[in-house]
Amino acid sequence: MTGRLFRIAGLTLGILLGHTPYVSAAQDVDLQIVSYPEQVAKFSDFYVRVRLKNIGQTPLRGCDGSEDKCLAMAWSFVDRPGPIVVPRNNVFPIPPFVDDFLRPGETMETNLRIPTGGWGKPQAVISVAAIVKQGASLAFEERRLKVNVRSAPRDVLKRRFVMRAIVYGYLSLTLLALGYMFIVRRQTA
Amino acid sequence: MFVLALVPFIFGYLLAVRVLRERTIWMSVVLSYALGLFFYLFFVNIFFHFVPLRSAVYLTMGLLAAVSVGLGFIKARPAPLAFGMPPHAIWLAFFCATAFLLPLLSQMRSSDDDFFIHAPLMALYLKNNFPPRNPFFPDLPYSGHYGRDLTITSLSLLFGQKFLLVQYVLTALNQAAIALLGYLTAKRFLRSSVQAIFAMLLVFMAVNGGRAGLLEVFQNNNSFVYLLFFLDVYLYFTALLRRDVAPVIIAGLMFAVYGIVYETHYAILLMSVSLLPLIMALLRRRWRWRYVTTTAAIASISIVIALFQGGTLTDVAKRYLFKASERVMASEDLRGASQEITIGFPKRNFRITSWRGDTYPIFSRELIAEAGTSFIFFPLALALMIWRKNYFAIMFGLIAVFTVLVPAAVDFGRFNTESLRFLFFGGLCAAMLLGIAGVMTYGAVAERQWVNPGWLKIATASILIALFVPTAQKAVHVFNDAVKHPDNFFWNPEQWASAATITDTGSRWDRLAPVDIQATRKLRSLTRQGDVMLTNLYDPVDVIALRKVALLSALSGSYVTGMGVRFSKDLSYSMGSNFVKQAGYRAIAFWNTLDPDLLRDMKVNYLYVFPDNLPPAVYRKLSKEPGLQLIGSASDSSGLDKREIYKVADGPAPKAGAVPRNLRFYSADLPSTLRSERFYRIPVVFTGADGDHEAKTRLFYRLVYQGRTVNQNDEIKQNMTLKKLDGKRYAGVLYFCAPYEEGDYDIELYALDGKEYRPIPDEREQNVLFRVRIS
Repeated sequence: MTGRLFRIAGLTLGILLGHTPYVSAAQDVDLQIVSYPEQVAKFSDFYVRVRLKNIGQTPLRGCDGSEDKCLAMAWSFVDRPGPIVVPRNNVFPIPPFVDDFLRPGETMETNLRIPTGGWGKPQAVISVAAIVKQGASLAFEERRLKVNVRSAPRDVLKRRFVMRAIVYGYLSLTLLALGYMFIVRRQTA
Repeated sequence: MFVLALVPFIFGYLLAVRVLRERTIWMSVVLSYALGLFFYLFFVNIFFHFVPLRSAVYLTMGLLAAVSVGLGFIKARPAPLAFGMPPHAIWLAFFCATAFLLPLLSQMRSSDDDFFIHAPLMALYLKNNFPPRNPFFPDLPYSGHYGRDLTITSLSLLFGQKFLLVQYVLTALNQAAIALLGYLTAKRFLRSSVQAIFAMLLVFMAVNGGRAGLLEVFQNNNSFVYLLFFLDVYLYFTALLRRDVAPVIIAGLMFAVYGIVYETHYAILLMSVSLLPLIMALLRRRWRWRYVTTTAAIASISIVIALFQGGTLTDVAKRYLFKASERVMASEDLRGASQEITIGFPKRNFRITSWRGDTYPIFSRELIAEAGTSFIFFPLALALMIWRKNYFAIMFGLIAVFTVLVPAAVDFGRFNTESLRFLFFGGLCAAMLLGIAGVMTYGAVAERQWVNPGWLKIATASILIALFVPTAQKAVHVFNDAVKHPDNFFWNPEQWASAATITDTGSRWDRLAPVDIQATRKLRSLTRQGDVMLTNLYDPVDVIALRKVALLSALSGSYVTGMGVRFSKDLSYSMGSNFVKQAGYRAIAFWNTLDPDLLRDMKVNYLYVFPDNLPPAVYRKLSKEPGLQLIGSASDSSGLDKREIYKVADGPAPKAGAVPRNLRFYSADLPSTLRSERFYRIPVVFTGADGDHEAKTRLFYRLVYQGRTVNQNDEIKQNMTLKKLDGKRYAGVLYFCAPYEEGDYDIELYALDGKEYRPIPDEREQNVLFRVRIS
């Protein structure tokens, strides 16, 4: 069934669930943040551009179900000081079907697409990490960045208003209809 | 142009009022909609077999307009319609409003259940790709039902090709129309408004099996399926009762349309209506030839059309009646992608196959779990209807019986796991029967005062609340989500396609990025009929594995090739698209070699590249590849996120070199470990007649597992350069992609010799050359 896909997701991503205080620093990869916007809007996405360099001795590939050494990216909002928590969905895979994706000494750049959602505070600290996995062991290379969060764009606010108006309109009409049936009709009957 | 969309509905109105002689406004309105929609589909489908879609739409509109004018002149003007409100009008209005709003909101949040197949198919119809082929396996036909997709797509031509928006609105309208048509039909033939409204309430809210009720089952084809079902039921009983040819012909045509909307339900409906005259004769103890001839005429008209109009039934008829020798074209594994149905009778053990692939007997808890709780009381309800000689209800009972018997008795091969389609239909009919029986029982108990009226009302309300809870919960969830997270709801499908969704289980899945919307707009203006794209998109988090790829196909109007088909060692399959692998063997070989010959073999016209998804060295090589021309790129406002579109040069098809005479496999230098889904360049040595120092041959390898081919339709056909080693030995490098599953596989090699591939034997003249172990 979806076993294999789940195994890939499970091994590469699911293992990242929860606190990771015992994870060692990655020796094979150097992570640099290239650029990111200082201001982001609520309910929108922004990109963080990162540069990765393979400073190890062996090529790194995208993670799949195997035990081979592999590389993935992850991000997380840092809500409070403490160890990094990477939700399952916030892992960015590197395609595993291309061999030797990042050879020793080579550098690559990629984007992490980060949705702000309904983040309620004026500032957000975001942790970005490169993860090197081999067998059951994980190593993290983490960087943090700070962005200012402003209110949602006008079109999003409008969409939010319209959606709520539709639902409240429907509920109001329903209540009116029920009121008519159970109160007005009964009184006139 | 959108004004033209009114033509089918005017036609439907004239048909309802002047031919079917409807006298009430509400029935006329809902019939105008349903008849208009499905007559439109009937003609568009016929014309689309011969002319492009746009012409088919205009021809259909012209024809319907001409017939409407004819009806207006020829048929006498009927008496004015009765404008009175139906009984329980307020309840009905609330019912219809909910049935409309819920699917509309749900689609705005997440376009469709099986978006991955329907949206690409619709986009491909817009580019005149018809009859349908699988959007992800363009070499394979796609033999499934396509009526809904064709209706939406063709109508979208009148609305700026915004087919997803048309889908949202039509689906919501269909659901409201089902509620109204179902109620009005049931009311007419049951002669009870209360029975009718409770029957429809249970249909929408109390199936409680694999799906809770029709209120939540609007996705994919379903809203079209059940609207047409109730229309066909209305037409059938109208044809039975009227001594007129016109309703018979209309019913025959509308039954036929069911063949391309949902073939399973069409077959069940045909069986049920075929048996009904016999049951009526038995219960009435009087044989009515008119019932038999009417039924036979409807069935005959529809079957004849269904055998030729396209879709599954036409495909099955072709293979079973006209070309029995080519009954099965694809392997069992590939049939998931080609939707090539096989039919065997009787099925071994007389058991129903669940969506997971296991089987269970017809009298079992699993049946209740999948078909619905209404089946618990179904025998009692059916017995009551037989006793009361309620033929309308008996027909729903017959349908419920057949929906259980057919998946238990007929062997559909790997599609046995689709039994849920039958069972939900059965559950729905059983719920309808239960609603009718429940109201009858309530009436009898209340009339005879067996129970205190107050207690009776409390007991009835409690039962209804218990039955409605699962559906109500789902409805409340949607409304609640719209209030709490309105930012997840999109009226504009392109905005939806480039945003993220938080699913009901709390997980997030990203769709495409805004830059993809820009890039696919460019690509859409370039793609033509039959164009194929290959992409290096990768998304392992997506369990269905095809959502993003499907969006690329839907937004660009091109096929997206490069998927793989999972090989089932034990021939067990589950329902859905889990057989698809995101990267097929040929695609893996291409992204590792950038050999443009592989693209030509895959008939790829465009490469849609995510530059960050390629290793730096491969990306540099790609941009310099002479066989690829960068024809477009897009980047977001920050310039960080980029996409590139390459046109594959229209070079000549890869040609085979002259195969050295007496070519024989000699040896292969395999790596010590071969891992699944990895790409390897394997040095191979052949022997052949003494010839040039260098020879070129076109060849591929076949993976065989216990006699079954693993890589059918995804063989890596490469041009191999053979360099002379010494004497008669030649060396080359074989592109080899390891299979998806671990195990031992035999390898055979085939070389192109003239116009066909012939096996390359080894020196002992064996075709199986060597065995690989995948770990």
